[in-house]
Amino acid sequence: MAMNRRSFLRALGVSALGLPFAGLAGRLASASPSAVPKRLILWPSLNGVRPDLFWPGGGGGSLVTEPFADYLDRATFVRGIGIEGSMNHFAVRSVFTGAPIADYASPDPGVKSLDQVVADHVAATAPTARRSVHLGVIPADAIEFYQLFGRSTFFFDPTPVDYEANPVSAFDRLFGGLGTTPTDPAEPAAPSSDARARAAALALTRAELAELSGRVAGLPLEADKLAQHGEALSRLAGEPMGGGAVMAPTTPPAVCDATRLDSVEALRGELEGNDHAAYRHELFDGLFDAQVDLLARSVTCGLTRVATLQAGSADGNVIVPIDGGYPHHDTSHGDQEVFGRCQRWYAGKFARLLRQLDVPDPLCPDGSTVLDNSCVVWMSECLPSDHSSDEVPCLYVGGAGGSLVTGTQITAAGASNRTLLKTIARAFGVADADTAHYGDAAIRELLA
Amino acid sequence: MRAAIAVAVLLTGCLGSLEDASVLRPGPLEREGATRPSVCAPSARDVAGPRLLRRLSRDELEASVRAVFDLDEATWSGPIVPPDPASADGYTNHADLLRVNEAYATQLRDTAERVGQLVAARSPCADPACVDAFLDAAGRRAYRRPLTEVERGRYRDLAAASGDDAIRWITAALIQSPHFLYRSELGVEDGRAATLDGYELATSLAFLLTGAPPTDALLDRAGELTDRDARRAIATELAFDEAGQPRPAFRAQVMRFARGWLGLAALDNLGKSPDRFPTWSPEVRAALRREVDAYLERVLLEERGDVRALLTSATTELDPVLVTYYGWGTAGRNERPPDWGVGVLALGGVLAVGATNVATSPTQRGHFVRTRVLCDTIDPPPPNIPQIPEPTGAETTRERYERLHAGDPFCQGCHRLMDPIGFGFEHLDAAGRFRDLDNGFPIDDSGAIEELDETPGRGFEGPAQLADLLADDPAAARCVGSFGASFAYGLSREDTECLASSTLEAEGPLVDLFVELVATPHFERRAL
Repeated sequence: MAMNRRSFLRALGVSALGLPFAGLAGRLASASPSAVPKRLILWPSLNGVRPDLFWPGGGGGSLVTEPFADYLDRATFVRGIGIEGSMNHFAVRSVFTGAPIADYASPDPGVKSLDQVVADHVAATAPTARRSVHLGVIPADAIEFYQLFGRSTFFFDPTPVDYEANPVSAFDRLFGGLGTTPTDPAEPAAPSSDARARAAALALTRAELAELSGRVAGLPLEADKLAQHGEALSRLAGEPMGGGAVMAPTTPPAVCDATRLDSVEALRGELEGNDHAAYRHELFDGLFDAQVDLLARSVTCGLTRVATLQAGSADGNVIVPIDGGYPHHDTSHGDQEVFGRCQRWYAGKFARLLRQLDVPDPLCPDGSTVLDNSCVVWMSECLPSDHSSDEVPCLYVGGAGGSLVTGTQITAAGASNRTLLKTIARAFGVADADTAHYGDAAIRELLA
Repeated sequence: MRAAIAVAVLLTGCLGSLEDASVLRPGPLEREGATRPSVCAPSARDVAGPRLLRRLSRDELEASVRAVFDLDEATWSGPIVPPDPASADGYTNHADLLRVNEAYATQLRDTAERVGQLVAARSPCADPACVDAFLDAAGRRAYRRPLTEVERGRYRDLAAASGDDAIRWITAALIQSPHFLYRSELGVEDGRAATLDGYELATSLAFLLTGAPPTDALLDRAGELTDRDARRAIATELAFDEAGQPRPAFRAQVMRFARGWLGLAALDNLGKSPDRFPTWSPEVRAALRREVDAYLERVLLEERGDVRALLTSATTELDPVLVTYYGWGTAGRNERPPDWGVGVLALGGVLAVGATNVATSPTQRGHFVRTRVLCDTIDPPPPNIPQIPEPTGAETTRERYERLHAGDPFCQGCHRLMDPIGFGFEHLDAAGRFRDLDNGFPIDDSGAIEELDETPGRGFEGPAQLADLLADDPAAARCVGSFGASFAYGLSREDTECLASSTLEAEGPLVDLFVELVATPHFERRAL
């Protein structure tokens, strides 16, 4: 039986609240959604914030979201989202994977997080030079605590995805080898001698790996290690090499600006060759700016279409530099007004990202902006204080090229992170079969 | 007995903590479908553990590249690869956690190619004889064994495909080779077990005692290493010089072990409330770190102390910053004032980490003792901890903990094992200094090491008596040693207790443990 909009809303417990944001129709991109070079950016917001400081009031904004008030007409607040089967800090591993994590000791999810699901889809349909980019801003209290207990591990492929916390080395890795000349993908250049030698070296490694794999038959864990290694090499073998950031034939050629970023260069003296320094709290502000700038450039030029940025760790005490500094996590258990102002500071960085994305999309000549063609998701793993994971702060900005409704607020009572993940995956054209681990339900009201 | 009783304790429930639950985490997380079954069967002793491939840690990778290609820090700044995931035991060399995913493979390739350019610039050549000579030297060091003819053939083919850049691309391929990147502890099967060959033993020996791959000289002696006594003798040579002093590389390894055991990485960023601790500063923080390192070096390496010494030494090394901060002593070696406690647990840096930014944490301090000194199992706290009322300042920290934890039977089920130990440190504040009063009230620093089975515990007064009690407990020496075995074997601590049972029970200097570990059955044989 066909279900109209209103009855569907009732069935799902969804209600549109009709905020005084700009009309969403004006924000639907003119290009066909399926042809738009969509970008997905995931922005975990750690420890949440007290609801009244986050959700929009009658005036259209809130204390936390005020720094990006200019973009609320392209934002959608999704109320009622609970992290299914998980809570507290260990929900970090659930938020974007949809996997239930029962407690701290539970195994890792073993499924792909949304970024990796979408990255697979992009790689299969319109591959980019970098499959996905994962940046961290002091994503653990020390580099020695990297991925400790999964407290700072949001993204899975299905094993933990590494994040880069040093913007200097990340910049050099992402942009250091890029030229500035557009490359016509229709006429790929002949492989250079370096490319041939690199391929030969890789082939040698793969041959040795295959040989070694034969020695670990009957040792499941060792075989699994080598299988994962082999999968990584397979991806490496398929990666475009040399020259500019080559876009796939389905997208226009693009040029990535390889000139140095001021925010990154400001840190170069301290961070070049020194990953430990990227965990110094005193550098939090500068690190954050650098990683935001790096991410914005990466997705804008199409170097990648999938990126994540994680600032802090679930139970980390990175010092938030306001009023002389507050330790993030301890403050989440303290004065909630103060913690709200801490989250507002993070929102300022979010605004920095949105500003940089609000530029004409070099991959899409119809006049739309990169932000229009993106979906930037802000979601928390839990709330402060008791760390409940019911009704966590959640919004997205940008409609993924007209695939998602923007400029509104909905209450999806009873919905979960899985429902939202399914919705966004569909907006990016991912087949339902590839997101079975998110369940069957999507929030159809969010799909344009 | 301890483990059995722990289960009973867990059943009583454990519903909260005055600080956040996350500091009391169990560990380690394991990938679903790729979980290592428990190595230790009940009552198993001195068994041979699993056959392993151990990916090099970042430190091992750097040391290997430097050693194989003779690159100093001025020439090459080191690898750029993702950090190594930390295990619950505090180490970043866990065999099951070190993996090669796409990010790692990509960055390793970039690192390898950079090194290739450096090496090629230093020794450019491409003719077959030159390539063969390079493989003889660098190839053997990289693989930590001679290359087979098939392997040499692959490199010759690569050289042919690389033209004038043969050395560059051979170098890049050597570094990406799984035979370089993984330490083989697979051994040779004989139907009943697998026995590590001489080269595998040389590799294990070298990485354990020097943090680096075997030298050419050690590889030359690989054939001797299958003999246990010879292996122990060579291990002693690697660890200590002719005068019996620890060699620098061994010192560095011991410090890696000890720092991991203490878990003090958070100290480097630790902040304290300026209102409560106005003299806390980055300079003080750094000085506290130096004090801990100096203490460990002296007790473990200079004095070759045992776990008792680690827990009870009353001497510490201060620099001018700490002389001012503590308000006693002179720069250099000092006896700690009687009220300031003794041993590693009473060092300012350790105490400051076992606290919040505003107050001491008897729970965190007690938890450390339980899990890192006694190796007891404390179940993780439940996820739905209710909001804990803010401190009012109208009571001592101890009174607050007793009111909120001891006053709640569910909390008390677990907190009775931790808080009464932590109370013993209450005269030492959240910033690592002595205090007479807490919130203006007298401090009661009596405590107890409660028994797991709720029989009467062992009472004490203050940190010095607590240190003595712990030093007298045989569980402490075995527990701290098991962290050493975890670090050495790259396995979880629980899994190493049965691999080195006799060694962990032996008395003597803690550093000698690392030499003795090379004589365990696990070091040379593995279960099929």
